[in-house]
Amino acid sequence: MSSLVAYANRTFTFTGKLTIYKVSELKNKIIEGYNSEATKSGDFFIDMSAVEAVDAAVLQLLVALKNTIKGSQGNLKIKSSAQTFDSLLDLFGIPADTFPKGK
Amino acid sequence: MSNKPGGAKGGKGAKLDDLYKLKHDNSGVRKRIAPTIETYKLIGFKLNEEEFVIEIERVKEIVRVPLVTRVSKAPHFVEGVANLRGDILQIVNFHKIMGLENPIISEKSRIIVLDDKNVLAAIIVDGVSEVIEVEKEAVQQTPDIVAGERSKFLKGIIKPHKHRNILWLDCGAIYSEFSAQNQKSTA
Amino acid sequence: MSYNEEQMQEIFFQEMREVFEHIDSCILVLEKTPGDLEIIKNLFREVHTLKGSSGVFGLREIADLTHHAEDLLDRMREGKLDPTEEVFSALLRCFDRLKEMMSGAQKKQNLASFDNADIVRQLCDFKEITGEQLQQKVAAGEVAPTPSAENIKPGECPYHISITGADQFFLTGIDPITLVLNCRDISTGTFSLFTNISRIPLITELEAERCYFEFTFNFVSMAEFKTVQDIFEFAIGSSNVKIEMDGVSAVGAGKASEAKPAVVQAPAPAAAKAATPAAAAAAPKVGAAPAAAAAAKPGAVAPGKAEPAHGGGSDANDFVRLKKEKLDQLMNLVGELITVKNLFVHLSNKLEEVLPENEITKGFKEGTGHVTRLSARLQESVMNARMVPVGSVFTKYTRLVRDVAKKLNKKINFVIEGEDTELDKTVSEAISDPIMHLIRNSIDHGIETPEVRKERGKSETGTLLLKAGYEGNNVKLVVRDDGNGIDLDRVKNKAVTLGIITQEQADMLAKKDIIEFIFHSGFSTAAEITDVSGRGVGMDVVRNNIRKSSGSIFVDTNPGQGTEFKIILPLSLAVIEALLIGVDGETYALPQEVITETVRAEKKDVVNLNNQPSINLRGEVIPLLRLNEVVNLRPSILDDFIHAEKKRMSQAGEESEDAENNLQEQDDGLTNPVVIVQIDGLKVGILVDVLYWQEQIMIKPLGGFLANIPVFTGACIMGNGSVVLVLEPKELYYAACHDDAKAA
Repeated sequence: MSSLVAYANRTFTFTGKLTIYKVSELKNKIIEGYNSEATKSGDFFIDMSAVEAVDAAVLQLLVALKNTIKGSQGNLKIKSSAQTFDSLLDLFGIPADTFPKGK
Repeated sequence: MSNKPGGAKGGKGAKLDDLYKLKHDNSGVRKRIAPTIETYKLIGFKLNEEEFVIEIERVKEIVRVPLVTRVSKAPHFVEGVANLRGDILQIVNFHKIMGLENPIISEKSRIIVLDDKNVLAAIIVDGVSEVIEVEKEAVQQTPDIVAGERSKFLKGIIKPHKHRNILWLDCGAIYSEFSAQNQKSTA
Repeated sequence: MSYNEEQMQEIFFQEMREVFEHIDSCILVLEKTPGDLEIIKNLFREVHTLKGSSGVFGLREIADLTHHAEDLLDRMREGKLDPTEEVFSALLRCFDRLKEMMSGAQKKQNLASFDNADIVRQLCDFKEITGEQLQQKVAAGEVAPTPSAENIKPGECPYHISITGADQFFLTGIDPITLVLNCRDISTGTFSLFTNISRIPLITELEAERCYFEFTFNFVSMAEFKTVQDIFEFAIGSSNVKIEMDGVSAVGAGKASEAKPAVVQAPAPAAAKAATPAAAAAAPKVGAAPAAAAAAKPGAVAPGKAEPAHGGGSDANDFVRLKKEKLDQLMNLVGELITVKNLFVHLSNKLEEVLPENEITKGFKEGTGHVTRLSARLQESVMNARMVPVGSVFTKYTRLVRDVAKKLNKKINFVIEGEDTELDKTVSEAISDPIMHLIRNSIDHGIETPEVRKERGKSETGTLLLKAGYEGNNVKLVVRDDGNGIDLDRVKNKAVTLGIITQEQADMLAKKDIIEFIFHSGFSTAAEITDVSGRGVGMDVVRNNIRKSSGSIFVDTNPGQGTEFKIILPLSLAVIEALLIGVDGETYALPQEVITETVRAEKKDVVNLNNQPSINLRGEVIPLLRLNEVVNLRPSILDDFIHAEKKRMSQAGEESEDAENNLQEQDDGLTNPVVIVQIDGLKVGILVDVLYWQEQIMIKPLGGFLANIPVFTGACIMGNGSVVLVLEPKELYYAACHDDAKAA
């Protein structure tokens, strides 16, 4: 089974069920990926095409990642979203442009 | 009509309102109704000859005494269980808890099924009377002379007139007490 | 006194002049301090008055143009539009035009001759700020989240709810998604939620399990206050929740359940009749469990008893929330159906005996077979609907582990696996406490301090594993630590000290026998009963609770390496085959699965070996238990009544029709039936008065005041409506054998 999150070419690719049970692990892996990138400034991307579920704890994590990226002049953009993620943003009344679409 | 001189700042709004009234029907405007006096709806019953009440919201239903299955090793105040439309109903001898003489089961006996999240329980009563609506102010503290030991189970006392005491049972306190007793007996 | 038309007009235009004066003064101030929200609001009010009044007096064109300016100002006061120079100059142009028009109106000019197209276009041109910018403004407190301003219908109330300080949500198992969905369900009309994300830090600083969200709800609902409060029942304990109903603040600290708000356009609240708050659905979450039936109606939802689970956020629309009551109702109906099905089976069998086979009896038999299969499948489905992922129970423990580990200065790596494993809801609630005790024990007595671990060559951080999975027809839960292991010598010595066994016996014991002793009541080898592990809670209580859910617990340990507890639980509440037996005039049910055979015994067949009554079963001596000694009943005030009722029922033919048909045909008055029961490989005989018949029953657990009676697993409801208690075979076994110890 592929791991929860993989990082390559400024893109975080997520897989499976992203829930609170995995949030610690996700955080560590994301930080690992981010740190491995030499150039911190600029945009980063998320690929959620293989995501089955997202809960509030993981949404929080993604916002935190975005905050970090913004701190170095960049944004966190969605290369490919998941229905479940969009629903969650909508449910929470969080504007879709918080994570702009981008390639 | 306002007697204020026209053009004064304070009067402006009032003037326009007057004008509106002439031209408009204001009946669509929301009005706030004064809060009503707070009352409680209570249902009365008898344990032996004493009168009690509890909040009607606490009562799920009142039925005749059903066929009860005795349960050995049950706490002393639980007489047994019965079938209430598919659910297991625990029959409680409240007289015992209140230190009263045991009820004599008769035609008039009923069980009051209480609505509580955790337990489906009913207390045996000697008769049910009417539903009364009581103003908050009419409920008094239970004087110890009347209640004594039992005051921990009472929310208050209602005295419709001098010689009549109606005791208001505190279901919440009863449940906690029952549970506490329950814990003790099995510890 | 009334005004005539002319006087009215006079007053009107005078008032309008004043309005324009106010507008002008506002603009003056705003030019200097464009951001002044108060002035913007004032300006809005004046413009609003202008629009309204002109409309009333039939000055349509003025009202229309004013509307655009009002719109712009509305957005500005909500922070959705920045007050830039361009915006103001457009507004100024607009106001100038309006003054002209007003002056024209006074002169009775035709206002349609004014061409306002480009002014309107200019006003409409201003874009709103982005959603994200708005979010930030709201979060920074510059702008208030807009409540939905809509017409309130009779019976509806606006609610405004704010949640802050929700840091502990995730750790206490509260899923904000569930809260939002529940609110959305009870709202009629627009539902508005503002989620403040400004507290979320950088990812490096983020504590992943802390909840940084803050929520502000605004919606209209027909539900009564208590219903809404119930939605936030658990949140109230873990955060600051403020619930305002109709502008009246009623802090949801659980005390304000009698909040009496001013009623808006009252018909007597239909909301007051809204559902009695009942416990929530089996799957009240956005998660992985299968969907259950029936949606909640507005005003009729009351979630909340169950732990909202963190099952992961798959599409919210795949799930329907269900009141637990409805599911219980379904279960009851299934139970009744099974009872009736049994009746048909009996009848079908009787028919076969009594009538020669014909079309009708064949048809009847087939139909009965069909009903049997259908009811089995229905039962399965309903059971399935009651399944919740065990993770819903697990989330609580994260916080517990953290707190306890901190208190005891231990480093713990808490690993959870298999949280998706599903379990019957009631069972999952029942094992919550036992698992908590096991976890506490592990941290307290199992895992060593970092220093000790280092000395022993272990990593400083101990690992505590909580794993769930399926094993055959059961769910297996494992609590494993890599700590001390159980000190077997200490256990042995304690057992000897307590007099349970002698020293010699102790020396001959195998490891697994020694471990068994920890389940003895009163047993605790901890040097002192530490606060963390809780007073007086021993493994005996843990095991009892697990048994009450028809489960078992096994332990294995390796000194210095760790301990593993394994809990096996049935996948669903049992509908089981049971044998109905009679003792002292009462009927009881005994699960068929433990029964190997039934025999009859005379008095002389019972011998006393070491004070233990026993019988000889084809050369094998097995202990005997007189059931009436275990289920002895105290006299009750209801005895006469019950007696009379039973008599009445049998006379009315209400008793189970098989009463004559029971296995008692063989009753000769001399012998008593003995049911041979086998548990864990050991046999015991249960002496009863009467054997009735075998039946399929649905066990309902006894809760409330009757929850702690080991000898009963629950109760079931018979075809005639009476309640029969179900015996727990393991308890009977212990009762049989402990007589030994008691007598000695």
